[in-house]
Amino acid sequence: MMSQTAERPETPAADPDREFGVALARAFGGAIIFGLPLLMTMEMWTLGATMSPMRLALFALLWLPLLVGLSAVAGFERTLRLKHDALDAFVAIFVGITAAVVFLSLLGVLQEAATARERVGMIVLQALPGSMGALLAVSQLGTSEEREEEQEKRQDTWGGELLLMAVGALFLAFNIAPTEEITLLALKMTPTHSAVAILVSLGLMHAFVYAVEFSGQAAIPPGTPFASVFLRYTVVGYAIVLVICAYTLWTFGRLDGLAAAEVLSLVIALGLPGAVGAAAARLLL
Amino acid sequence: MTAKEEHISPWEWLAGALGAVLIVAALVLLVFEERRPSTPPDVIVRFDSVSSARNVFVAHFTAENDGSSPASEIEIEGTLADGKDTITARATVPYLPGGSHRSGGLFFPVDPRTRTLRMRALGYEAP
Repeated sequence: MMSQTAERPETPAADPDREFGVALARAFGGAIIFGLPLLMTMEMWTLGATMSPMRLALFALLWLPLLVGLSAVAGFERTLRLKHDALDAFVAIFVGITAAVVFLSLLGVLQEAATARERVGMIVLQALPGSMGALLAVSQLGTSEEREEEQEKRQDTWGGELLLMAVGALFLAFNIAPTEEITLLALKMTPTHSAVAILVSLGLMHAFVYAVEFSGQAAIPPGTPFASVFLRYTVVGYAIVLVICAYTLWTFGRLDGLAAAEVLSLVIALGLPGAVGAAAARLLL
Repeated sequence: MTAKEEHISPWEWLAGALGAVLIVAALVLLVFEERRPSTPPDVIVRFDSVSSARNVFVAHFTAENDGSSPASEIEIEGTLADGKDTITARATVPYLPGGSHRSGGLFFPVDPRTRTLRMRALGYEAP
C-alpha cells in the first residue's frame, strides 16, 4: 500500500494515458473476479446459446443505462457529466466482452459452440456481469486513500441508493437465476416457506439499512422515524429486488409456462439472495 | 420530525406505498395458496402439431400438470400404431410445478399423421 501511494504522481499534471492504463487493468481484474463464477457455470453456456435472442437483446440494452447510472453513483471519475458516465459504461462493456472471449476460449467452451449465433449469445450474456465487475473494480479496488476521498465527495441521494440496491440485487440474482437449483428450491418451498422468506428478506434488508444509518454516510439523517426509513428504503428496496428477480428469471426463460403461484414462489426464492445483494451493495459501494 | 420530513419527496412515499401493496399482495396470495387443498401431480399430455424436420418427424406436445403438487423427471411416451407394428418415442420433462405446463417433442421416423398417435405421461419423481 505504502509503495503504491509513493509511486502515484503527486503533481496535478498526472499522465492521463498512464491513469487510463491503470484503470483499465483494474477493470479487467474486476471483470474476471465478478465474471469467473458465471464463466464456469454450465447453465450459462447453454443459456447463452439457447435463450430467446430478443430477450437477451432487451436485457443487454437495459444493461447499458444501468452501467451509466452505476458510473454516476459509484464510478471512477467522480463527475456528474453524462458523457463521461456513458464513456465509462462503454469501456466497461468492452472490458466485459474481452474478458468473456478470453476466458470462454481459454476454458474451451467457445470452440464447442457450433454456430456464430451460439457464440455471440454466450459472449454477450457473459459480458454483462463482467462489465459490472469492471465498473465496480475501478471504483472499489483503488487504494484506501482514494476510496475515502471518493466516498467523501459522493452525494448520497434516495435515487442513488435505490440504484445501488438494484445493482446489488441484479448481481446476486444473475449468479443464481441460471442455475437449476433455484427452480428446484422453488418447487420444494411451500407457500408458508415463501411467506417466511419475504419476512426474513425484509428483516435482513432493514438490518443492513440500520447499519448504513450508523456508518453515517447515507442520505438518512439521524433520528428519522423507523416507519419512514422502513417504508422508503427497505420496502421500496425489496419491491425493486422482486421486480429485478422476476425480470431476470423471465429473461432466462425460467418463468415460461409456470402458474402464477409458482412464479411468485420462484421470484421470492431468488429474492432472498437478491435482498442480501441489494442491502450489501448500499453498505459496500 | 416534520421539519426533517419536509425535505422528503412525495415520490418516495408513493414508491413506499406501492412497494408495501406489492409485498402485502404477495403475502395474501401465499396464505390463500397454503389454504388450498393439495392434490397429487395430474399430468395430461396434449398433442399440438407435427412438423417434418430434415431427418425425422416431430410430434410436438404440451404436458400440463393439473394437480397442485409439483412433479419432476416426468416420462412422456408416445406410440404410433398401424395395426401390425408399434413405434415408441420417449421424452423427459425435468420439472413441472402444479398448474404449469411445458412443451417438448417426440421424434418418429414416419409421419405420425398417417397412423394412430397416443401420448401419455408414464410417471414422475417427487422433487
